[in-house]
Amino acid sequence: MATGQASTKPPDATEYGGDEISALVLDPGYATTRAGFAGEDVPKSVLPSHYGIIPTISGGKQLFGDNSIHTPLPGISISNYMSREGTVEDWETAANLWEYAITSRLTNAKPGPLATNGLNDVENQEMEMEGIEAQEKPLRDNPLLMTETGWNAGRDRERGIEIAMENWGCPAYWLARNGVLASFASGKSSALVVDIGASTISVTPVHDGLILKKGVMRSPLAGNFVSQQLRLMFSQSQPPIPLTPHYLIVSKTPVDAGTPSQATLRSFAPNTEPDPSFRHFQEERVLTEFKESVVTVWPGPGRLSGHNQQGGTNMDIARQHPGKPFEMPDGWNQMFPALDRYRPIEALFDPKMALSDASNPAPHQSQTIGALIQSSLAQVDVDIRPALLSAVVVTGGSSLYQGLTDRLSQELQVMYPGTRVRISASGNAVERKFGSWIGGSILASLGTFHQMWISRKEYEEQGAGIVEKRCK
Amino acid sequence: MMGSDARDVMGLPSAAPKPATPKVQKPKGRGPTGMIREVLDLKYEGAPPISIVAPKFKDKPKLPFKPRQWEETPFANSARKDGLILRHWRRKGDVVNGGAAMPVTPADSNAASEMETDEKAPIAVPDAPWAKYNVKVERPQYTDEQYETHLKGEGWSKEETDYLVDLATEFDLRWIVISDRYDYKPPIQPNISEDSMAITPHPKTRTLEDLKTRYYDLAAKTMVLHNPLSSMSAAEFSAHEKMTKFDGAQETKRKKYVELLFARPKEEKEEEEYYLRELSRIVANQEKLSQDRKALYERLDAAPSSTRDSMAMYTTSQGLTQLMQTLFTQNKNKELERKGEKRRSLLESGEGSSHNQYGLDRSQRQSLSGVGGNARLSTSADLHSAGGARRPLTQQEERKYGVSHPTERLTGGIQFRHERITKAGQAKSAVQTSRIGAALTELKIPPRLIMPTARVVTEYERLIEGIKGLLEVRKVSEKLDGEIRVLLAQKELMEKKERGEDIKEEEGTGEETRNQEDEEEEAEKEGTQNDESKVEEDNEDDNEDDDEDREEKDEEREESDDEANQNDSDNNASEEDADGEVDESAMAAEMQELQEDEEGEAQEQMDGDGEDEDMEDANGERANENDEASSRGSAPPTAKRSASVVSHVSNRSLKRQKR
Repeated sequence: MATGQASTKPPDATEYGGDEISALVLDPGYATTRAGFAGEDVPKSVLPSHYGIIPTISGGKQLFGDNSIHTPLPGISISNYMSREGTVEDWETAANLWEYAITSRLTNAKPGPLATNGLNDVENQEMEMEGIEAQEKPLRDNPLLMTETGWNAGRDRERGIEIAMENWGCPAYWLARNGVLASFASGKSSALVVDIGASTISVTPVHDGLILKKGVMRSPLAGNFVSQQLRLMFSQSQPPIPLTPHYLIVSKTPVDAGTPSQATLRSFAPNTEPDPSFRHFQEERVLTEFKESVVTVWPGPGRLSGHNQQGGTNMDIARQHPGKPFEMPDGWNQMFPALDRYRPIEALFDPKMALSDASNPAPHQSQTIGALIQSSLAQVDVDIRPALLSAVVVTGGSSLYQGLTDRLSQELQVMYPGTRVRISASGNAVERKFGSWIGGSILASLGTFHQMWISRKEYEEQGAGIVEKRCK
Repeated sequence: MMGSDARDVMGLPSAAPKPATPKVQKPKGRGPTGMIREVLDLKYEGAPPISIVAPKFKDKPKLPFKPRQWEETPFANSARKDGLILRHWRRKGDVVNGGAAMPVTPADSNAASEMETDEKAPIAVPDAPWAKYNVKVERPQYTDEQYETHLKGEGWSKEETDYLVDLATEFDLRWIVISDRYDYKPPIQPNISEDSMAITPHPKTRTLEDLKTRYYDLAAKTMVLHNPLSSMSAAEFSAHEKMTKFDGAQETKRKKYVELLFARPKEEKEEEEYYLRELSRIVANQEKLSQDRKALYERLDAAPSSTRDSMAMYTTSQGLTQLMQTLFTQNKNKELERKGEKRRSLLESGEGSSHNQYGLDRSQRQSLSGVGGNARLSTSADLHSAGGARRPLTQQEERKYGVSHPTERLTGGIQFRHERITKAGQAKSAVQTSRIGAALTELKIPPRLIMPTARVVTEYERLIEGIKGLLEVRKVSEKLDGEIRVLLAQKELMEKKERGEDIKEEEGTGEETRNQEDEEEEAEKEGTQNDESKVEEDNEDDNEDDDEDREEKDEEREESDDEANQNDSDNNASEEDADGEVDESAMAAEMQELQEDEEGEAQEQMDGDGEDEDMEDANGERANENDEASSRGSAPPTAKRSASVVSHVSNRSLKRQKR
């Protein structure tokens, strides 16, 4: 009864070209920061990129992770270390949050040496700290692969390696473009990557594993834009639809559709209420739920504002489509008609359908997905355009709207009738959300990637500028 | 008991003495005996029929091997120049694939990563098997001097050239990426980074083609500088060739076309697709058609021999009866099928069934008669009737399938249509066959017809018939020529004798013979009138021949009685001769008219035979005589025969006028 024979044999490394060196992959994004071991298929550590700050006497304490930032602590405010451009804005916090992401789930904080664990503190700190410091660094055994957006440039590129080498003691480092990684994740070395994230929607042409910089296009019509559209839709409807986040609800009773809610709201003692940014953040979570369950992309043919072949408007057809009910955290609920389901996201394809007010101007035509792809392809050599169009990789969490890939496919067919357009989007939501992380996981676990790493020695010899030279 | 027996049989050791199992205590005071146990169990609560097993942990598996440990093994990569040592998990004691250990100096490894310090720094760590994949593009090497003398390019500074070469090496000649990243700034600022996205206007926009042209030019020249053309290897030479042949302008032009192709509307694309589809269809069909034709030719080539063999089977009466029987049974089967069909079609429609009924009867009759008659007919009738149930054949199809509707019974036995092709060209004797062949080649008709359709073959048969007749006649005429020569010789001999004797007597006898001759001739003419008329109509060419014959004939007539008999056959022969040499090409055209005229003439000649012809003939004869008397050597063509020709022609013209 000898069992487990198979497990005694290691997989033949040459079979899949993998040779894992316990590298870590860190993929920061506007909504979440993903971290995990290379060679695994999902990141083990996924944190919101938002973090909480509680005011303390010494300035402010940072709270990281889902477990802590949703509690309405007194005076808590929420910020994000990423900019709306998709690049790191607050490097200090970024380093803290990343370290938290890695050490909380992946590597554990190293048990520090007795000299520095605080138990044996002596007054004069003139001990030899050199070797000890190296030992206590969190990533001294793990090469680190980080991702960046296609438009990340200049000093921002160098900060990552500085943190990895100086703060974490990584033996090796690499900085990869997330567009390239997303195309790797879908098994392609050349692709047109359409990444629909939270803050930006980007189109990156990838050729032989290298991005074509002139073709990188982006616009802010992504997940957050849809949330903003929803807020406008709620406030502009008659009567306005209330948006109350979960943390304010103490109790509620069921009410009929469309009638005002009957809920007891939490009241805060003076000076203990959270910052408005906290409420905004919590409202975003409700909107995310709404987006996930109600919002749908107009299935076509044509645009929502267009006409069909029979001469009627598509809006009329949309009115006949089924609606969907949604209940707010406070019990208010309503059947949202199909038009309201299509409307908030239609602006990604057709700016005419965007809701706008004084502070939220309507987007420009050049910001739509179609226009982005068009301008991106125009920057690319004509020889590879058909190849890119036949390998359009759609990734990113906001690409999970119902029917988005089908609609995109239709739009592209209309734009490029003479070419075969083929969209490759994973049906698996996890693979779509963590596309670039998965690509990084593949890349960092490849045996042939060993020679690419920027080693500590090279960093020490040439400084942070080496990233510019090596990571193209 | 049974258990131990089984163990003995199996050769197993006898079971260890079992611990005395406590006997299940039968509950006392069980009910009345005589009841079945199961029923009793139902009535009284017996022991539950389940066994209770005490929970027990699974035994630890005994593995037939000792577990080996995994250990984190450091390794280096020879493709790296910095001696980075990474670690991966390997089985303890495994030979590292790749084998070759890469010696890394302790100093190197120490410097490489500080993490190694707490470990025993390995003197030699194994090399990664991946190092071999580190392939790099060969960079064209040149010195400043070489650049100045050979490599200067128009509009390119050395700095920019260096930048281009760097970039090309960096991106392994991925030109699309190179042109994307190409961002050369003239060295005003000394330390520019290639990738910086600073928006400064480019001094020159270089297209992909510009870059390629420059690089290939440079690379080709440096290749020659390092290694003259004469000493290059084949691969190098071809690479050099390719680089020197690169034409940037051509590429730009091509790109323009590609762009047009990329931007074309859907309609154009669909149109092109349609054309391509059509083309492929046509090509495929053509192949099929030529194959079919080839197969058909093969069949036709092979057929004659086999059919002749099979035909031989049916030449005897026994064979014929056999054939009849087989055909009969076949027919019966067919009949049965038809009946089934008929029933089906009866259900479908009354109209169709009646038609089918007719078809059935007809086919039945014809296939029966087909045994002795024509199989072709029966098959065509089948075809016709089968088709008739669905749709009648068009005229064209009937012609195609060789359907005929003969009014009378055909004779000649079963035959394949294709037999006619070869049969026509064959005669009884091999000599004649070859003669026919010779005649055909003279007419420039191939021995095997190119497109032997039914119509062509019919014409061909007619032609062959004509040739046969011609040959026959020629044979006879040759024979007669010979005889005439003999007779002439005899005549001369006789004349010599007679000259010495009475001359007066000659005239009297001559007259007599002439009368006799005429009578005979007239009798014959009536018989062969038809033939003659044909001759008169068509044969202008042959007239000369005829006339010659006549002359000879007339000469002969003046000769002695002995020749009179001879003359008869001579006349016949000449007539036949003329008959044979009918111009084949005119045959078909005149056939109709001829038949009509023949009928009329026969009638007329019956009427005026006694008077006119006699008179004419007599006149002609007399004139002939006179002429003969005046000038013997050159006989004029106004022979007796010519006269009769004239009379016939005049008759005909009269008739035409009447019409």
